[in-house]
Amino acid sequence: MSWLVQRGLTVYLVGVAALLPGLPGCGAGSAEDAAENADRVFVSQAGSNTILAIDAASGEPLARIDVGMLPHNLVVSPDQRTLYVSLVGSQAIAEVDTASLSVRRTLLTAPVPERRVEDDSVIQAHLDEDALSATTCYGCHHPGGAEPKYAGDRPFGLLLSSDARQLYVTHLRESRLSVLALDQGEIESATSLEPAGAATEVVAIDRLGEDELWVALRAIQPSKEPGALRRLNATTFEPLSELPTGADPAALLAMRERGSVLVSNFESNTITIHSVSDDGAVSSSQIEASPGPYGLLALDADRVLSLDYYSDAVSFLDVAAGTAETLTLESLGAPYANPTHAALSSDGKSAWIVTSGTDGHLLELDLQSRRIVRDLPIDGLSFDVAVVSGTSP
Amino acid sequence: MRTQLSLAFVITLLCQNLIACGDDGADGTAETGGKSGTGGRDATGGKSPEGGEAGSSEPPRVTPEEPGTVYGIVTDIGTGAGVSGARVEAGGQSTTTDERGTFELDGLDEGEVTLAISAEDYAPAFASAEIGDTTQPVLARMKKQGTPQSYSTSSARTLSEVTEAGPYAVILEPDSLDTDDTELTISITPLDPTKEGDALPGTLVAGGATSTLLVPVTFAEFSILDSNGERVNLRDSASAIVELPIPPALRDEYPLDSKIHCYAYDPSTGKWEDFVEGTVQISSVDGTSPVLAASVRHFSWYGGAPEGDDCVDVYVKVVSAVDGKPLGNARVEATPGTTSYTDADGVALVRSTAGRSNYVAYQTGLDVDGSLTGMKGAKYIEFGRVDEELVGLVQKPCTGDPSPTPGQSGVRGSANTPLVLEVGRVTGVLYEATGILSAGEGTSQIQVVVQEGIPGPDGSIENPMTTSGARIWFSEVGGDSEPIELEEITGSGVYMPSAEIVVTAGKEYALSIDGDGNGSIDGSGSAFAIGTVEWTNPADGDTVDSSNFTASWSDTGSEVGGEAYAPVYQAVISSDDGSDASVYIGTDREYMVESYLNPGEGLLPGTYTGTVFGFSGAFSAGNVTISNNITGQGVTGLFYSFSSSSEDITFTVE
Repeated sequence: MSWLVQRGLTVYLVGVAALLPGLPGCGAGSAEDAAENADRVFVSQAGSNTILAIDAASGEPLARIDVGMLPHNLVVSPDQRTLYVSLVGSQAIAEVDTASLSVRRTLLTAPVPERRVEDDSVIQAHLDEDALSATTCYGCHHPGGAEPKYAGDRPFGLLLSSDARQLYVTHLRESRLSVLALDQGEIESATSLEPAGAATEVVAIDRLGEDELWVALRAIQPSKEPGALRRLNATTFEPLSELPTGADPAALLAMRERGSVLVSNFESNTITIHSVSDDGAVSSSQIEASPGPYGLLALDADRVLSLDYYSDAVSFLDVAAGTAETLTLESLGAPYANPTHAALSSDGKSAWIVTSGTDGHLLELDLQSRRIVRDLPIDGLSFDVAVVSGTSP
Repeated sequence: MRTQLSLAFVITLLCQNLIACGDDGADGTAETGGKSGTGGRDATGGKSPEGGEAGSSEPPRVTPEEPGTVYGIVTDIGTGAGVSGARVEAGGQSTTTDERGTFELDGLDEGEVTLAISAEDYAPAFASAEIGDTTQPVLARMKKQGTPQSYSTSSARTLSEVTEAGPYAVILEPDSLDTDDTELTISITPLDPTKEGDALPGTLVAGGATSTLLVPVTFAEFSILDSNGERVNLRDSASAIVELPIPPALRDEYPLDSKIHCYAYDPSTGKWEDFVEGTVQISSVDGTSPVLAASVRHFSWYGGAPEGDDCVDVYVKVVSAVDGKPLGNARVEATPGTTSYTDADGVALVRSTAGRSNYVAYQTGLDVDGSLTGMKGAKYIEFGRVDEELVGLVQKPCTGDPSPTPGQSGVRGSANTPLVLEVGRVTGVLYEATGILSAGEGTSQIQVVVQEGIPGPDGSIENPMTTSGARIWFSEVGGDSEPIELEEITGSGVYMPSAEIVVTAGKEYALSIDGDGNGSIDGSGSAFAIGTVEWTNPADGDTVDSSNFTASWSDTGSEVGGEAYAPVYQAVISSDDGSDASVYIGTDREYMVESYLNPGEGLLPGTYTGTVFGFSGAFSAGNVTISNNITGQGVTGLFYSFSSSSEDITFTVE
């Protein structure tokens, strides 16, 4: 059952999802489809320091991988063999083998400090525990371990270089962009980014073409101060230009075929589309989003799925037309609270959606019918989701 | 001076209580119905009616079997008194509490249900119950609403409610509320989870596939009412910033710039949602208190609760305080922690955070012959509570469900040595205790004054009488020694140790109170014993530079107390000619002195006198709202420790 309500340029589609948890076959996800679909779905469960691996065909959990404190953003290597996880509370990246479902190695995103910033005194425990040679802070800083539980400068945004030999990592606490050389497993460079007014936290990163990186900066939360987008030379990280954006930019999405970058402004309830012309000029337009736009998922060259955190909804954005259709995520009148991110199945037919309320759900949304066809249990306070194609590894 | 006045006030209060005890001298037992074990007859938890004990005077008892029924009581978290006239709604059904705060709600569908409870002058409360084939017990606690403040939607404004922990505030932008009504009232109801966690709605758990316990740090409820008394909320696209003070005892754990996960309670789902990250920063209201600042989109109960680190799984056995029989189907709540129901042997397994937690149990009984309540067939509620730090249990991550711990035995809270919770019948009588704690060699003392009576409409006791026959235990939190039972100075309602005790400055001590002496603990509270507080800068006779003047003092309790010890200090510096002054209230032991006359600047030159004073617990030392820190069912009160005022110092400011 659904009905349409016209509100300005935005069409709201309110859906009542017919749900049979864990059972394929309600809508597009037929048994035959499921058998052919061997995708593995990975969810970062920030509240429990784990990555949950799920077999997309059966919906069964395959593994619960302990990775480190506050796993958040996920990125999959082009060969589908590796999942990179930003560990916001452990100053590290976990490199997960998508076949064996185990942590292959961890990579520090910044050196372990030998001295305290406040007074330059030696951190004796770091010397005693040989922390300077560690590859994650998780070995010592964890529940029941050394204080503080969450260590480091909060690595958050992730982006693989086009040849997948480097991993770009943004840091919230130190306004820094680090580059990890993946062959060597080392920090290759670390570049401090100048604040843009009150915006100091480098929250998201994406690449537009080979030569240009975009980063989003936000003010320390809570704040209604505007954020900023900065275009960087992808080699030197020199700023190319800067664009204002709404308060608390949450996610960036580069649509390379269109030459556009979208940013979700969480606090301002807008999604801004920046399009770069051949001469480098940027034109901008804006879509009024459903309250609390967060993650952005490209569905094809023109359409984007926006995850509307405070609306318990997703919106289908038509980037060319500048319109949005919103679908409430609910079952029998009960909302699926706080969607954050989504990932596309390898056949492009469905989107896997994380709802990150205190009751966690991984929803499979059939994109054709716009119906939720599966509801799988995940931990509360989960964050990101990634799909690894079953045919590639 | 204010500190001296406060001290005098406390002493006067104590004296008045003592005098009153002496004057009254009555035991009041006839009215309480709770003395000498007479009021503590209990349901057995059996599923069918059964006769009384052979040869005993016990009446037949039964757990009511009425499917789709909730029987409960609504109480004030501050006073422990029943809240009469409260509206209780769930599943399309509604009812109103009687004069004792009890209610019965029938016709509910099977499954988990959230009860919404509203009462005039209280913040909205919510409780949960699992509706099954028997009557389910519900105990809901309400918190007195903060002071209503008027607000017009067209203006930007910061509204606040100040407690001893600091200011609770909401920062509103113009036209951010979903109403055209310009005559609004806003109430901010502070809740300190270290004292009043029982009043938080719902269960603070990140659930889903694998649950994780969340540990409350600071919370408040925000109610906005229009001129018709209807609730108003933010527009869909609007947000507001709230600031919630970090309780003094938790400030070392959450220093400035810490991130704390914040949640809003959603009454429609009965869950905490809208997780965002808040930041610990300095209050925009008083400029000194550390507060958790976060953005909200929906006004309700709101606060910060990070994931728990270390938890313990605790076996609790619920028994009757009268005959020691186990009670099945009793509800057991750990705070912070999970909720469970006892099996036929009266045993439940719950998870709580390591360290001090409180455990309550309650059960519904049926007074078959009317001997307990004066009304045949009347339902009643039995209640018991323990505040305790269980030592020796295996600590586990707070992720996952409670589970047996292999190989663990003989430890209090383990499977073969469960924590025993005795429950006794809840009566309409309210007990009010005032406990004063002092440390030091030769001056150690704990003294508790107890009064009782029937609560009036505002929850306070009308015509209070001194309480004889209460049982009160005093213990060091986390200490090895057994609790000391205090003894009453006969007929006075004043309870003290029978022998000399040693109270160490900086340590935390607890009171457990069985008001009616029926064997079940009804309420409890804790406070740190404060040390001697003295100026360290300036010294008497010093001369200081106005532009760079940091005042400081010492507290002999700080070394023993460590990080958890966080008394509140009040320093007053005033010029002898009345031309300028400076006041500090906070948990630090130093502050940069600023002129009251010219904020942001140093004191005017002149001769000044300085006094500093400290207190711990629920002691009202200034113009702040104090929450009772002895809480429970039918028991309330204040437990505190205060330092002597320091030797005044006189110094010169240049």
